[in-house]
Amino acid sequence: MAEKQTMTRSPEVSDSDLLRRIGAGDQDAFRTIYSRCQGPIYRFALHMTGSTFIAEDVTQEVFMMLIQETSRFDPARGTLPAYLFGIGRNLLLRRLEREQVFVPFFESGAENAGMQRKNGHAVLVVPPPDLVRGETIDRVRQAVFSLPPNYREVVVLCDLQDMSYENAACILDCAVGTVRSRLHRARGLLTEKLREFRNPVRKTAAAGPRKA
Amino acid sequence: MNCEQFQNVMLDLARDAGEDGYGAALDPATVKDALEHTEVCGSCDELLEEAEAITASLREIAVRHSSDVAPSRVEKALLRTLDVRRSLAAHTALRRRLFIGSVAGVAAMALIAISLAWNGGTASARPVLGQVFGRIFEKVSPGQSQKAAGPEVQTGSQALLAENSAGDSGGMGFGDDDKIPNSFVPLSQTFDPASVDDDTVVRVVLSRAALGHFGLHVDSVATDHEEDQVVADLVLTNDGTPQAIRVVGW
Repeated sequence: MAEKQTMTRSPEVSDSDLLRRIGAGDQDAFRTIYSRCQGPIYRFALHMTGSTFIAEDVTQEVFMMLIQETSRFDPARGTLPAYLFGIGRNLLLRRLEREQVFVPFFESGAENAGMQRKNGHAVLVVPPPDLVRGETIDRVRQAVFSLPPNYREVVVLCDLQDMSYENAACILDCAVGTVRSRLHRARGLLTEKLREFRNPVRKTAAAGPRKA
Repeated sequence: MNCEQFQNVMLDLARDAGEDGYGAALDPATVKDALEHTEVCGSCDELLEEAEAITASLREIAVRHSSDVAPSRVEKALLRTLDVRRSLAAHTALRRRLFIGSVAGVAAMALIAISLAWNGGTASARPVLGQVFGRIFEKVSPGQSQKAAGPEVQTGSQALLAENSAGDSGGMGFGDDDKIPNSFVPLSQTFDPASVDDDTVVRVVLSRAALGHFGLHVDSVATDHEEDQVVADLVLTNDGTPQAIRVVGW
């Protein structure tokens, strides 16, 4: 089970204080925030793109923006992790749009490499599924990658990052009901795609021309 | 619970499913109703199984990647950036302080220079100003009091006439060597010393050479003071024609 994403503020030192110290060049303050937030942001980017290269790049850009513009964070609008996730999300959507990053839906794990190069990026490849369960997980992962970004991000945040609807809504800058409906729709799409996996012939037959 | 009601809660039910039952996302009564519906509705039961399988797979994926973090080189690069920014900020602050200090210094120096020029220069500036303003005609009206006009100004036609009638021997501060007439010298044949009361007497500053235009002999006095200027009183008629002149100093 993924560790629960805590989006609450540190009780010891407020985020604003930490940011003020970062603005003054305090490395300890930066390490405090970085160690708390970099993992979830990196995994969010990784699950969204399937590329460790992009995940690393986006993580670095998120914290670079934090260093450069510490004054932009407004505690009244949400927590610091939500703010950083929001930056990461915007960067990711831009990258996805620009670079058309995707993992082919039917890409198998037969490469046995763990990672493979695709379009110049390191792409996460699941080890060959030698068990039915492993194969299912691989297919679910591919199905998640094939979702449109607005559905993919709610699945990543709520299901893969185990985030609450409220926190996801804060990051996505939308209503909780929107998160809920998008997640419902995303799960429906995942179900359909996995059915296609299980019954590819039926789909092909249904899509083919009818005989007289 | 019917199929429509079941599908409304199925997402939460599937997400809440665990190995040891369902969590607290839904109230127990709703969970119980939903599960009872799956026992009588095969399609809804299949939907729930699919959704729970997806939930299990997503959790498995999450667990597999739960320890994934950004490489340490990212943190190192960011710390380097932070260090550079701190140095730049310190440098910028120093430059700003230096700039402000230099501007303040220049301003202070300018103020001091202005102050020195004003205070120290007044002694030398006053004559210059006096020369400038001295060129302005000072109208000496016949009835003007001597006190108001100042001690240097010969005021009042009676005084002028008295000096005029006193002849060339009167002293106006000029030595005999200067041979400067200190009484009114007629410039017009129609000049009548008795009519000075009706005429206008003005004090002017003019060059020595200009005295020649009035018919005065200036050659002898101009040898040593060619570029000097002369203060003189002019008697003017109502139409501005000079009637008489008297040098009062230079």
